[in-house]
This record gives sequence, structure tokens and C-alpha cells, in this order.
Amino acid sequence: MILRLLILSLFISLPRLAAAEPYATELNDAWRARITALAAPKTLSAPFTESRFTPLKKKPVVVEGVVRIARDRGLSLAYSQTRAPVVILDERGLLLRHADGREQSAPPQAESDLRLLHALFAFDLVALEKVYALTASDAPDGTWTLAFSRRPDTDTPYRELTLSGEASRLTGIGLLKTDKQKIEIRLEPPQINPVFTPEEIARYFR
Amino acid sequence: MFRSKLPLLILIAFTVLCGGWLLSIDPHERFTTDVTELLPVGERDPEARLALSLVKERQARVVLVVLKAPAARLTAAAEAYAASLRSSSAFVSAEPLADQSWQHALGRQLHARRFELLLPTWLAEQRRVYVAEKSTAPFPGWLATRATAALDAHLASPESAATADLLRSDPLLLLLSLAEKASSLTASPAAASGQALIWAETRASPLSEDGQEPVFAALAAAESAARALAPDIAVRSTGVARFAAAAKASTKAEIGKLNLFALAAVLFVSALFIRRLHGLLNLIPPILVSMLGAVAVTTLVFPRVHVLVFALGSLLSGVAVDYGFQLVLARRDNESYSARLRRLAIPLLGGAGTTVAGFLVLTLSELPLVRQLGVYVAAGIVTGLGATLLYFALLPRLDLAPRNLPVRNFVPSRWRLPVIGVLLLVSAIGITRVHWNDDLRTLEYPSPDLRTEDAAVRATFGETDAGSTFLTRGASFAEARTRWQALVNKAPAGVRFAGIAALFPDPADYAAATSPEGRKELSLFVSTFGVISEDAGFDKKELFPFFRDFSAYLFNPPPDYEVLMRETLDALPGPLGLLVHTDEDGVGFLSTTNQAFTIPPEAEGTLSLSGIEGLNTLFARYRAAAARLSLFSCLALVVVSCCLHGPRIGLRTASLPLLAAALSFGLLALSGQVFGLFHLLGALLGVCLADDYAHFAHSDDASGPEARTAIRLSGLSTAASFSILMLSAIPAVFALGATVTLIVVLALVFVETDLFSLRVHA
Repeated sequence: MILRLLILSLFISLPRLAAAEPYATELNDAWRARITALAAPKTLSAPFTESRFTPLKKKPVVVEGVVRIARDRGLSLAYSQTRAPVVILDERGLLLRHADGREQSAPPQAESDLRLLHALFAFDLVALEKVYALTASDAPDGTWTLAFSRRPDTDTPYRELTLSGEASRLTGIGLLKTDKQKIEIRLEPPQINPVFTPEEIARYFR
Repeated sequence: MFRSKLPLLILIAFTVLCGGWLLSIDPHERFTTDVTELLPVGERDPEARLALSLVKERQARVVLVVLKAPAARLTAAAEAYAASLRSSSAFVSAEPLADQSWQHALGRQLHARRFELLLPTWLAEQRRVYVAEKSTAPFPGWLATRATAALDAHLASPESAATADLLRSDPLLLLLSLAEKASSLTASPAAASGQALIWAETRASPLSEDGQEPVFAALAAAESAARALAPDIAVRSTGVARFAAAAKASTKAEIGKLNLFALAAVLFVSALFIRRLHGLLNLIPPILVSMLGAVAVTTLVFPRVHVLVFALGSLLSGVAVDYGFQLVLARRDNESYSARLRRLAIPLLGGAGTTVAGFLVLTLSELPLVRQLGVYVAAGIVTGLGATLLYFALLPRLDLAPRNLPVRNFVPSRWRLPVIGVLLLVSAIGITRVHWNDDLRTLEYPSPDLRTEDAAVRATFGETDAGSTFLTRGASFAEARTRWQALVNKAPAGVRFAGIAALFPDPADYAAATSPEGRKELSLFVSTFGVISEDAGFDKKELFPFFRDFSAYLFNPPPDYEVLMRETLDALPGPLGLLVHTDEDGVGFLSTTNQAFTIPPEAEGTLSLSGIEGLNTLFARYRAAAARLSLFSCLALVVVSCCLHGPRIGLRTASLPLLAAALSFGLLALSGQVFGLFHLLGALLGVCLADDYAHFAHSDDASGPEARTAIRLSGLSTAASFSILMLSAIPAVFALGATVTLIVVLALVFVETDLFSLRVHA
């Protein structure tokens, strides 16, 4: 009797266990394996080119830099302009670290939006699923796209977040607020699991 | 029959009159525990007056609250807490700092007046660069090119992601550059995870009754409201009200304790010298009448009396009991009471008169506390002496059966001068080591636990003691702002200012921007900027809000500088309103710096408000005034003694209290005591008391054993009552007690050993 009850309860709980996976219907096992591979490196460093589209200018403003990711510390963007601050995005939010040592935090009201951005870079699908619907697509040329579209009943400022890549490499990130106001980041081939020196950690992370 | 009851009737009438008067007054109205009321209301120095008013006014009404609760319920609990405070009549406002609504209000306010408030400073900075570059291009065109380049550079910076919406109306980056300059002013302290910070302002001064109990009740109600949402919430708060309430409760308890202990000490000392102990109870009524008279007269003379006067005035029991001893112990068999009075009239009136005169000199002081103390003790001594004479007229045969303890003069005549020389030398060495430090906090009951919590809460709000706080004053907004700029320009490198003045243009820059020439240049600039920015790839249609508002700004006549400032400051939200101070003397801007520095002499009109230093400087000035009063008292004492006894004996009589005082100062200095105003007052009181003993020692009656016992008993009871003051936790009361006790004990030793050869040998 007890054995039958145990078997019955196991059958009842199985669909629930399956449903606990984020984006259970949108992502198949191949996608999950790809995302796991993308999230696998403990550290990563890659040059990038960022195109900022603003309604004020007819053409995007293009800047370059290096992105550094340490899974246990967060993400850091170092721009090539001489006076540009280092942008640090981690679990504590956004920090701008200026060349003179001054640090600026993002206002608390931006915290939830920044958490979502952090979730995007950390491939935290559980956090993203609450706010964004997902469309995953593969192209014949071997490229792929994960498009996160804002759910109707949420108020996050980013209408769409996009990750694009080739095989197990991330090549592009898109952050779209409006058609005229968006950021497109193109990533060069990364250095996987580089060892950041203590000086690099002190300068690019917190 | 009536004649024999007359003293009793007078005593009863006096008691009823004084009691009736005291019952008729409102104690909340007439007695105060406000430490700032110890200083003169009509302080001459306007800067000090302003510092005093700042301590008493809005800045003192701020209450800081830290809430700690699980993150999920924290925001709602903080909102409920603040809403509860706002709904209370005890609070004017309460803002959870995390919601930053006041910062948004400030941002909207500055945005609406950005061209009036921010453009003049921006324009002046650009013109300085233009002059430095020695550019040959016309200024409006040069400025348009430079503004376009700055906008381009900003769009290439990471910060631009958050400013896109603002740039449509502010492509000159006026608000953004201000945000950088004033970041320390508007930044909310970063609360640790699980903590919420609330800034609140009470309606009444924390030093008043309405600013204490109702405030504590409102805080308790707010805590209950927050606890309903977060049961495990932890609340910490600080504010002047908590210190004031604690000080009031402690001071009241101290007054009762000190007076009771002083009375007990006097009775204990008396018991050592008197056999009929039950007779000592007869000493209590004159002391009580003396205290009653002292309180009644002081409240009649002063509209408000500080309760510290009564703590310090507890010495009165030690002084008032003297007359009872002198009168009763000098009783002789078969001598009528009136004959005894005639015999003792001169030493009694001489001793009391010198003491009363010494205390009355204190009424010339600038300090209300010192004036009140002078009246309190002088009135107490007069009523005490009167009550003693009347009371013991009812008991003319009262005999306390004194114990006569013979003490040999152990200083032989030939050693007296060398001993006096040695004592003078010790005094001189000690006095050269006297270190003065006047601190208003020595008047307060110490509350270390409250101080610790206060420091912890303020640290959570980002307040530290590392920097300085300045108040820059001027007769007008323009003068105050100009002086503030001069201070900033003269500050050492690395010093960063946070102050409300940074939000406003320098008057000279404002005048330049609003002059007809300035407006003409701005008009040319804006049209050129439209062309140049479009050539640089900007979409002019997107910048429509800027061009529309700029045209309106140029079209409307500029407001008067004073009007602009007043309108802006009147609407300042949240804590920022505390950073400007206006009164009949003009305007004051409060500013803080990241590191302390001394105000350069050229920076006119700026006062340092760091900690309580400003008020302590004032206090030091009052001490200097009290020192002058003390010197006058000493001179008067010498003159009176010389008049009474002739120059030879007069100088000896006066030398006894003066050496006792000098030696006491020397010994206290050698023991490492730091001196303040109350050591000086103690010395003055001690000299007056010691002078009494010198007079009695020289009186014709002094050679008798009863009179010697009376002097001992008087001195020791006075020393006992003053030494009780050394139990006080209030440093000023301790200082007074220690100084007087030492002087009286030394004076007694000098009398007993007849060091100054005052005794008249029969």
C-alpha cells in the first residue's frame, strides 16, 4: 500500500518538476545544453563594439572597449575613451568607477532593472522568465538568437533584450527601449577563463 | 504672649507667602532644563547668537530613524512608519530616504528654473575657457561649437544611457554638471541591506515639553504601525529630544539626591560634635525655610530659572546650617537670647555679609546661570540667617551639649612664615600648570549609551566627524553667496564642499548672464547652436523642448536675484531646507566639507559650527569675564577685611581664604584636573566661605571652646555638603564641589593651626 502511494506521488510530482525549469516550453534540451555551455566559463574577456542609438542623433554613437566577466563577481565594461568610467554590474547593482577614483552608484529605483540586466549576462533564466517572454531561434547559417520580449503587465524600461551567437559563442547583445533608443553590442572572440590579476580585479570589479 | 509668638508668626507668614507664590507659578513655564538657556539671550556677538539659534531651531528638530527588517517587508514597514509620524501632530514631516521623492522634487524644481539658476554659472565657466584659449572666433559661435562637442562626448559616455530623456530639454548638460558638483548634497546615504532610513522633523523644539513626550509617543505609535507589517522589525532613532529628556530626568533625580545626601552629611558631621542628637532636628526648619526663600526669590527675580541652579544650590544647606551652630553653640548659662544675639551680631553679620556680597557679585555676570546662582544663594543666606535668628528665639534654652575636642596648634610660631612660603610655592608651581578647557557639555548629564547609539545612527546616515560644518552669513542672499564663493576659492586643495549655495549662481555671474549684452550673446548662441548641432548629426526636432524653453527664458524679463533665491529656497524639499538659515540679521548658508580646515582670515562672514566648538569659545569668553569678577571680589574682600580689622590683621584675615584658594587650584592642577568656568566659580564661593571662618577665628569670642567647636562644625558641615556635589555625574557640579571642598578644608586647617596668627588670646 505504502509502495503504491509512493509510486503514485512520484507520478504526480513529475510534471511539477518539469515545470520548475525556466522557459520549459520555449527551450529544448539542445538549447539548455547551449546555455549551460555559455554560462560555463568562470571568467571571460572579450573586446566589444557598442552602438548607441539615440533619438537625438541620426546615426548611432559607436564606442569600443573590453568586457570582463567573472561569474562570482559580475560584469565589467572598460571603454577605450580616456575619461570614460569603468561600468561594473554585479549583484549589488550598477557602479561607475571614474579615473579619479570617484564612484557613482545607480539610484535605488533602477535596481530592479539592473538586476534583470545582470540576470541576462549571468544567464539567470529564472529571474528573466518573470518579466520577459522568450523566443529562441536557430538560423541555417549556424547562428542563433535568444529574444526576450517584455511581458505586457510589466514596467521594465527595456522592451526587448537579445542575445545572439554562433555555436557556443556569444557574439551580440541587444538592449532595446524604443525603436530609436537602443544599444547593440558586438563581441569579438573571447578569451575563455583568463586569470584576472589582483590589480585587474581591483580595477574592474568590486 | 504675642511678643513671644511673634518670631513663629513671622516664620509661618514667610513660609505661607513663599509656598503660595511657588504653588501659583507654572513649573513648566518657569523652570527649564534647556542647556542653551544657560547662555545669554541677548548675546552681543551676532555670529554666536546665530550659532545659538541654530542649536535651538530647526536643525535641532531633526529625528533620524533606522529600521531593520527582512527585505521583503522593509519598504512597506518604512512607509507605514513615516506615514504614522506624518499623521502625528508632533511631526512636521517624515521622509523615508530610500524613496528619494524629495530628490525628484528637487530635480523637477531645478529643471523648471534651470536657465535662471544654472545657466549663469555655466556661461561664466565657458567664458573663462574662451578667454584662456584666446580664441579669435566670436563667443556665441565658439560656445555653440563647444556645447555641441560636449553633448557628443556625453553621448559617447556610459552615463548617457540614463540621461537620454533629459538631454532633449537640457543639451547644455546644465543639470548633469550640477549633479556632479552637488552629488554629496543630494546623495542619500546607502543603507545597508535590510535597513531603511527615515528623516523626520518635529514640530516643537526638542528642548520644550511639546518637543519631547508627544514626540516619543508618536515614535512609539509609528513603531507599532511598522511592527504590524514586520513583526521582527528593529528600530533605532536619535535626536536632540532624547538627550534633552534624559538630561532632564537625570538632573531632576540628581537634585533630589544631592540635596538629601547633603542634608544627611551635615547631620552626620554635626553628630560627631554634638551629644544631644535629637536637638539637631532643630537645625532642619531654618535650612528648609532658607531653601524655600531662595527658590521663591530666584523665581521672583528671573522669569525662567535653570534647574541646574538648584543642583548647585544644594550647597545652601551647608552654609545655612552654620548660623544655627554659631548661635546655639555659643549659648552661655544665665545669658538672655537677646544678649547672646548682641554678642554674636558682628561675626554673624560679618560672615554672612561677606558671603552674600561675594555671591551678589555673581549677579554682574553675563551668564544667566551664574546670575541665578548668585541670587539663589544670596537670598538663601539672608533668609537662612533670618530664619535661624527667629527660630532659635523660640528655643532660647536649647543646648546641644557640644563635645569640645582640643586641637593643639602644631605649627609653632617661628615656622609659620616658612610654612606659608612653602604653601605659596606649591600653589605657584601648581597654578603654572593650570589648563583651561571650557566645554558646554560639562553642564550636561552624561549619557554614554545615548551617545553611542546617536553616533551609530548618524554613521548609518553618512554623518561623520571627519569634516567641518560652516555657516556663511550675509545681509542678503547675494552677499552670503559671494562670501561662500570666496570661502570655496580659499579652501585648501582637496577640500570638497557640500552646500545649498552650490545650487545657485554667483551674483556676478547672474548679473552678467541677465545683462542686455549677455542676453544678446545668448540669443546669438542659441540660433548658432541649432545650426552647428544639426551639422554634427543631431536631430533638431528632438531638441524642440530645449529651444522652446530657451526662447521663453530669453523673452521674459529675468527675476531679481534676491526674489529668485527666496522663491527657490522656500520650495526646497526634504532635508535641504535645513541648509539655509534666514533671520532678521540676514541669510546664512550651511555647508560641510569632506575634511576639516581652519577658515582663512580673508573668508569674511563664515563661522565654523563644527561640533559644539563655537559655543565653547563663547563659554571660554564667559569664563574670562567670571575671572575678572572673581578678582574684583577678592579685592573687595581684602578692602573690607582691612577696614574691619586694620591693615595688619585685615591682610592676614584676607590672606587665609586667598591662600586656601590658591593652594586648592595648585593641588587640583598638579593632580591633573582640567579647569573650567565652574572651578573658578567654586573658588569664588570657597573664598567667601573661608573668609567667614577667618572672621570668626579673629572675633573676641573665638578663644572660647564653644566658639572653636562652632567654627569646626561650620567648616566641616560646609565641606561635607560641598563634597556631596562630587558625587554628581555632571562635570560642572563635580568641579564646583571639588574646588569648594578643598578650599574649605584647607581654610579650616589654617584656622585650627592658627597659621595666620588670627586668634585673640585671652
